[in-house]
Amino acid sequence: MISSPSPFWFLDRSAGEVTLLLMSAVMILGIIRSAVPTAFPFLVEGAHINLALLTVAFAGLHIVAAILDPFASLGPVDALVPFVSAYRGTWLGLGVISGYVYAITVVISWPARRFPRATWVWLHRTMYVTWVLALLHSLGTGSDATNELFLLLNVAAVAGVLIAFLGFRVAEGWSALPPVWAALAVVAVLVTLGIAVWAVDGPLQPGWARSSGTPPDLLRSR
Amino acid sequence: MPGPNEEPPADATGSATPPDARPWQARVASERRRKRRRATDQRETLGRLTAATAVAAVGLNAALFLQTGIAQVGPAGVDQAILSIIKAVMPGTGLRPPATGPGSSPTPPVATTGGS
Repeated sequence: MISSPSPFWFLDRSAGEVTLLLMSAVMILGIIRSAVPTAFPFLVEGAHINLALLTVAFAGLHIVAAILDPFASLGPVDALVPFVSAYRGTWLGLGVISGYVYAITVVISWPARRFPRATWVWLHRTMYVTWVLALLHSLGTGSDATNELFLLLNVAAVAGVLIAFLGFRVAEGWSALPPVWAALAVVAVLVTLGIAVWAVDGPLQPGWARSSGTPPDLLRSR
Repeated sequence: MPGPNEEPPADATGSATPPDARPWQARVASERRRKRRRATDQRETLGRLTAATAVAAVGLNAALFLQTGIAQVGPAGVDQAILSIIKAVMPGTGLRPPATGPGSSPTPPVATTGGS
């Protein structure tokens, strides 16, 4: 049964965008903390942790609103199992995977880093991929990719993370291993450009709702 | 009245410098108090920063909620959506959407009084 968009549908979309922005802020603070450990360590690390938990809260709101909303007919299984949803399954699945990795990173970091340091560091490094998956999920699943405000916020989030990575992380690591960090900088720029080209060619095009896997009956009800 | 170069009075945390303390002890105690104050200040700053970010996030969420709603169903639809959320959370409020202005009549107006 298809119903008209409910308030939960709007809440789902707004909370999803705020989650992505908070996640980007957490990324930026984590990059600064890692690259410049002496710069206000208590404030930067504290803000990094607190915003990471705030991100979890908004991600929870995003998921709960998606499940409660009758419009897209998403259920708990769609929110828990990647790539099974009838609604834009591929792009929704990226969000599910991103959520899992993010949750694991937060849970492992929280109890005073009881895991081996190397495990903790490498898990934190997966956050770069997690963030990219969340961005692809936002653009691919989100109904607001073409909305000017959403687009502006997404561009700001991407620019912020990219500038922090190049300006702090790459700059800090450059002195020790220039070839490695040059390669990582090139990868970061290429990934960003790739996402931009894909977004212009895909989610920002008029027919994206159909080609991304929106059920036909839902398309008719819009 | 203590002079400008004298130690401030001991705080309530038990780090008081005894009156017969040697100069290095006074310096260590002063340094401890300074560090403790700085830690307290930083905690307060972090708390304010976190609270401000949380408020900003909630505000942005509300703004985006309205933006998506208005773009899809119009202002009246957003009114209904907000009311339905409030009713779901607090069923006894009895809120109703605002009365809409007089619309166009389905039939032409009929003059009931004389006129030219």
